[in-house]
Amino acid sequence: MKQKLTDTLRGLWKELIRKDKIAHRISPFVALLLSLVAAGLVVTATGANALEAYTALFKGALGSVSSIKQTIRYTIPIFLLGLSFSVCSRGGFFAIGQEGQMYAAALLLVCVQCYLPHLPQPLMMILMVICGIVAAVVCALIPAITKHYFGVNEAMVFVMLNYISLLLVEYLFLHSPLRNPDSASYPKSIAVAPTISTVALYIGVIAILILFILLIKKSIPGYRLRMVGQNTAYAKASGLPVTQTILFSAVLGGGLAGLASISEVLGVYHVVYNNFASALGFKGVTVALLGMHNPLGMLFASLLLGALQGGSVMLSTTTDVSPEIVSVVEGFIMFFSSVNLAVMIGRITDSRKRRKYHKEERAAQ
Amino acid sequence: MNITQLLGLTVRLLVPTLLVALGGIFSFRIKVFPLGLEGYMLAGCFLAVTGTYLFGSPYLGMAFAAILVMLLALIFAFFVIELSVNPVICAFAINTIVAGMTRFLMIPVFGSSGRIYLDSALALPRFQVPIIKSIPIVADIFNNHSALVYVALLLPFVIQFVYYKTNYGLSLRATGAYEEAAVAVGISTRKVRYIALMTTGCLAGLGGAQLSLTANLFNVGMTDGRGFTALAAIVLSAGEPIRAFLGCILFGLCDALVLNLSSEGIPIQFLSMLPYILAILFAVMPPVIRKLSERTAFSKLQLRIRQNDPEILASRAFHHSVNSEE
Amino acid sequence: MKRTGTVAMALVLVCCFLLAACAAPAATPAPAPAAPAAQAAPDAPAEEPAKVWNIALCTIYPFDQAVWLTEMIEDMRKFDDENDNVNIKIVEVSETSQYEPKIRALAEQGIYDMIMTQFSGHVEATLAVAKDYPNIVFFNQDGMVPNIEQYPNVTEGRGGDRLSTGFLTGALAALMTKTGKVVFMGGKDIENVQMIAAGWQQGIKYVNPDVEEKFVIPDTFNDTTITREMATSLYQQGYDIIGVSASGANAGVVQAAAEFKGDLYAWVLPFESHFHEIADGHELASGVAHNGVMGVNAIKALMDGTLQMSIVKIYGFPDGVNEVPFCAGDAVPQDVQDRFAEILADVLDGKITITRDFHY
Repeated sequence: MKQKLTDTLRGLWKELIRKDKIAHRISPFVALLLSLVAAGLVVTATGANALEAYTALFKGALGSVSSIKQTIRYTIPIFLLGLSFSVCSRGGFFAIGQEGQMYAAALLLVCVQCYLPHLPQPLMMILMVICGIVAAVVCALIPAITKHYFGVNEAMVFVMLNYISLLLVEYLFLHSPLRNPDSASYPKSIAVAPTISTVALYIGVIAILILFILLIKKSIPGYRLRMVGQNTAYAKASGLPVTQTILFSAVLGGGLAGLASISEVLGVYHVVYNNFASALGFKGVTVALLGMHNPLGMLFASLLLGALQGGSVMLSTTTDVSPEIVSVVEGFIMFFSSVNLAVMIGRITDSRKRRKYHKEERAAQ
Repeated sequence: MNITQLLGLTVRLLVPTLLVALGGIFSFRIKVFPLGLEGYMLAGCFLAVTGTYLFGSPYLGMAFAAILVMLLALIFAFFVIELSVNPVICAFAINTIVAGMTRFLMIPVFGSSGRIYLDSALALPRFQVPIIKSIPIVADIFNNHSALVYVALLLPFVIQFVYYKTNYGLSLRATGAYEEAAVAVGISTRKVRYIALMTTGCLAGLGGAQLSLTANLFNVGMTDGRGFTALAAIVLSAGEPIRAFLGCILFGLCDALVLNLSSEGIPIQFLSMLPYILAILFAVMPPVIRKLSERTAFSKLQLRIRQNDPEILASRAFHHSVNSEE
Repeated sequence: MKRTGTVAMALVLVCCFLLAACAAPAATPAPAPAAPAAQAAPDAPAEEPAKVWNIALCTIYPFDQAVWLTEMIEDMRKFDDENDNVNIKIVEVSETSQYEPKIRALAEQGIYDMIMTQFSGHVEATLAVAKDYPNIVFFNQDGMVPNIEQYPNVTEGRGGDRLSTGFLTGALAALMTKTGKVVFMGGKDIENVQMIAAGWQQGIKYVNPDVEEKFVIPDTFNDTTITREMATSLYQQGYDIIGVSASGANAGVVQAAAEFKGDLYAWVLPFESHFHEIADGHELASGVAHNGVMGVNAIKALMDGTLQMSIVKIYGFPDGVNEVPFCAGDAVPQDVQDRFAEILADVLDGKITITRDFHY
């Protein structure tokens, strides 16, 4: 037993310090460092104190238990959206329409509250969850169907649907029974009664994570999804039901986005503001790409973005640094971490080898 | 508002989006999905106002914007081509950085955190084109615009020419279609891709410059999603310049109609949805029609074959004779 | 093998995070500039003359989104500079996900006597935090707080008497129009805009019911391109005065007025702020609402102990928040000015009733 444990640990350590993988491993940290330096330069150039800014960011993200809770609260929707994008892109489906799906889900939640207010709480909650997921799934299926049966580029349809749902939500929260009677100036919905406690949210998200890993790596639909995503022609030739698989991936993606929306509305806000999903849409895509579609990688990428959000609260309330610095830092992080250090070093050494080879060839002639 | 005023308004509204879409087509053709257009456009807006403020002339401001955004695109191209960075994430990064930096830099550059108003002396001059201004209907639509509008209206045709009649255009299409073959023929795909991505930046920056210099001010978030509208136009057009022009006209016309009809009591949100719904319809219609017509054409063909096929006729005769014998 | 590597990296990162969390001290408030922790009860008058009042202003829009907000921030900063015993911190709380966290973080620091929030978006967060911090005064601007009587430490201020402002400016427009057609452009179709529109329409009817008037909504508080194009087309159709209440987008209409070349002299009447620099002589007047004056008045009332809780107070003409200054100089003839002064006096005395009815 003990031997096995030390063996595993030794294996992990050996794995960690593998020479050829070092570049790959330290790449994210180097990226983080570079982006902090770059953003810090920008901050200093405008006259503010970079160190003070970063301290505030850090304290706000991880400085106390309540800060950590805040960070996790921001992480949850970003993580779910990252999973949503990832699952679609495994099926070869560029799904950048999460915002639209989130608004659709939130809209149906509010409709349930408005038209069936007298249901007992547990029943209402279940109904809301189902309606929210169905709404988001429908919103995701439209581009999937147009892509598959009519060959329309799904990215465009998603972007259009984003705008359409945003406008629809704004209209309905200003001029229909869904609007909040106490707020005639600001598009806001009526209060939504059922709530999900924070602990339940955490448990839910971890369960989703585990289910996701099991699904993609270990189950038959997941296998089909991966095959179809990697090479559609081969999959079709092998007899996999391609249509079904693509639609399945869209359904999963929509469902996850709907869950993200539900967690935000029922777990945090209890009221739907008309632009609550605006910042989140593309963060999910970033997280999926940063985490390289690996569920654990995505978890850490979303923790990073969530930490930045949490830190920015403390940044703007305790210092005078403009809160824009957070989005600049986020941008730089995305920028630098998209560079795979290993690949970069590989290319530089390759070109050096090539030049050396050519020189030798010319010398030999 | 009469129809000519509406069309004149359309022309004014569509130009920034058109320039950005034309730039994005270059990226689209080499299979780099141009998600960074919003960032380039916003950077162009900010840099044009800054340049005009610094150099005292709107044209210099425009050039300033075009050159600097081209440099930004060069950085993007470097990361994507040399370091094989995922272009999607790099584009999002650029969008985020530009959005944050333009707000951040307003204070040190202009000393004020309000929106930046340019002096009316620095506004873009409008031209009265000699022949056009005397023709009654055409004058309302095409007269009295600033220089870049006229350039932008002619640009799709220029780019169409570049694509289909020049060497560079051929190299571009070849690189996009099948890169290995292009390399095998001897085309320097690296150079082609760099030039394409830089052109995207240059044109998108000009689009942003047009937007902010026409309004003679810069405010935060000025582009307001126009980069993505241009993206939709590109996708609708499948990379053809003339079709992208038509797509931008569609969006511009919808915007103009929205402005007009909003005073008739129709809720503005539904009117604003109109261009997006139309875009989806226009995207979906051609394949639907094609599919339907294929089906009917094919089945008609089948029917005719079956009617005239000698074997089928023979077997029918046989069955007929067999049955009649019974 | 690849999975082991990922798990290893994950473990290392988790350890780093945990270490960081344990090592960093619990979030301490940033050192307030030489101020002892003030725990003023809302209605208690200032006991020691050296008491420093710390106020936090949370804006729901980015600082540079609208001229009225920029002016408000300037007014508050000026008040801060002029008074040593007042410190005002201005925080941008514009993202939905950060409404409550930021307001709560400010309250947690324990140094603020009053936290000011804006509009209906901040209301939920304000009420939630107010419940947990009964010693801090919460002042919401224009938020239409529901059941405000129930909250002992919350008060609301309406930034400007919109009905009266609309009425006066509508009357002015009816008096000054040469073509007999005027337009009211409201940014979005919301309550505040509707109130100004109601006043405007009634003001026009009071002076001259034959004036043709229109109510258009470009649905933006920000996009000057749209409002500029709309205004140009309206001027082309013969409407010679446009009253516009579209905060950030007012500038577009002002530019359209300044640039318009046609048969009529284009006037613009922007609400909430002035646009002298770019109006080039085309700004007729302005239905100004100095929200900064409201903020300063509220702070002064807090310091005097006269700030009333659990009510809604409309800060209007008597408070110096509203005024209708003419910008057109000599273009406004004397008889119009006299008539306007009459109407102003009547409105302030309450002789004219203005209702909320308006039409599209």
